[in-house]
Amino acid sequence: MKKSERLKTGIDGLDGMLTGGLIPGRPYVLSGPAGSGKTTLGMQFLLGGLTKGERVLFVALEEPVNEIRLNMEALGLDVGGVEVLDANSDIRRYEPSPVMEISPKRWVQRMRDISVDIRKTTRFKSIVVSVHSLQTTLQHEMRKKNYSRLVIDSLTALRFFCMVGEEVGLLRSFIRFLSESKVTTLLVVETPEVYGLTPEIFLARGEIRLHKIRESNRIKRMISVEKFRGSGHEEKTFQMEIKKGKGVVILAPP
Amino acid sequence: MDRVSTGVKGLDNMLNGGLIAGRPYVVTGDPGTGKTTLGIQFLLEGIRNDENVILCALDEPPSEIKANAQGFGFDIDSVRILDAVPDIRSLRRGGPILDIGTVLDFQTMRDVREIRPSRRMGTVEVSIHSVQKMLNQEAQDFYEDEGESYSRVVVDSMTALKMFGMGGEDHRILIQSFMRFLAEWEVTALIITELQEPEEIDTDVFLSRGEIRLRKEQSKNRMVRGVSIEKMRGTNFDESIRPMRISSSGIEVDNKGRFGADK
Repeated sequence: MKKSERLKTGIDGLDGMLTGGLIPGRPYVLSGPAGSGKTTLGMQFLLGGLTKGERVLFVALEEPVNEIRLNMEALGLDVGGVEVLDANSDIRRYEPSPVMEISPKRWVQRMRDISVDIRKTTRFKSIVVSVHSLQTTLQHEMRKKNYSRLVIDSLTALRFFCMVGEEVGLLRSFIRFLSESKVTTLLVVETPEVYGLTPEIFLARGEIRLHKIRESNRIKRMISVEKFRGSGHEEKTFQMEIKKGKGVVILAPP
Repeated sequence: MDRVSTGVKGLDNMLNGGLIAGRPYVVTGDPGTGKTTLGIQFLLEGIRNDENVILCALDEPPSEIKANAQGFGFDIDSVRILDAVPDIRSLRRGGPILDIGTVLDFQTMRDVREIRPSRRMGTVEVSIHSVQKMLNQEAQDFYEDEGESYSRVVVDSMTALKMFGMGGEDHRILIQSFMRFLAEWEVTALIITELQEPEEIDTDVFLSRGEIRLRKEQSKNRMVRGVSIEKMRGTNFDESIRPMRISSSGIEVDNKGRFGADK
């Protein structure tokens, strides 16, 4: 694959680690422990597309969208132009009440139009997100809008809360769906403190991993490319920082 | 974004001024690290500021929490309390199982004296969704009666519910709903929880907006305590482990000190 056909991530140094960028149209895993900078890096990837005039979509499954907006603004990232799909399930009621599935008309918004206050579950019905309804919504949105970059934040939440019972089969099908959609996707995966091979990493075409090492007087952050199908990649692990106004910054990149 | 004091000055400094208001956080640590004490200090700070606060007791009977708090000289009389500590199981077969929501109500700590005796007829069962429903009802009743809202909630603790309390249903979804409920309620919540296996992701920790971890280590022949912030969304924070003490007046954090420096 020629370098010109690569998709620049928008993160200085990471493209170098990927020998020019990601191979477009494929799903990749962005993994790391809690607080390692996954959401921030995912947002930078989308901003990288926005500055080139691409359409990009952030799918929120883990955190309320108002909080994501506030957190990114506090970090000094201007994410107002990013489109966001609020795929967080409502509060469950545990009593007979209508359950609705998410509908695209209601939920895709620009980040700048997201209220700073949390969206409240309505009084009489709860919206529950299943992987099927999410997939239908995404299909519909992508046909209409031709997104080139997608961030699923997080695949872990999708797996925990929307795939009850048959996780591995549904994961495989969801990742297949993304590949057929030809959108370049970062699948955010939260890793436990000790972990090995997980099905999402096995199924994805590459893995960018963030590391967080606790030392007594600081947290050391690092980034590595663990797997990249169809390309060579940097095998070293690089130190990184999360900086105000910039987000993830790789120190001394290749 | 407004900041909320934890009630421990050194910890507020580590957080660059306190917790971001209206979000749920977890306090993790092994048994005996001071999690409940930190929770109580967080609620007392609210009372000092004339806020309304709730303690949701799921592990330790409120009568004991009250006695322990008094040992530090804390006056927790105006804390609202939900005593959702499970009963002794009725060993007689066929006794009814009662949902806590049908038999229990909120109290004020002032009125807590002895341990609540188990019911003679039937066993009170606790589940995360009955706790969620009761908190929701209390929030509405309180607003109707007093015209005010709660601003701080401590759940002490999630450990037992994670380990035993969720027969049949997928506990991850129940916890997700509970965390969403706390966020929509716009209270600043501390959920006390013990970490399960290091190979597993704890759903409550995963969905929390920050984790405060309390630590203790044996150093030669004495115990060294420490505190660290493992994650905190939307703010910078002190990334060091800082020394912590539990003195006769509660938890103190030295946010300039070095953990283990005096070994």
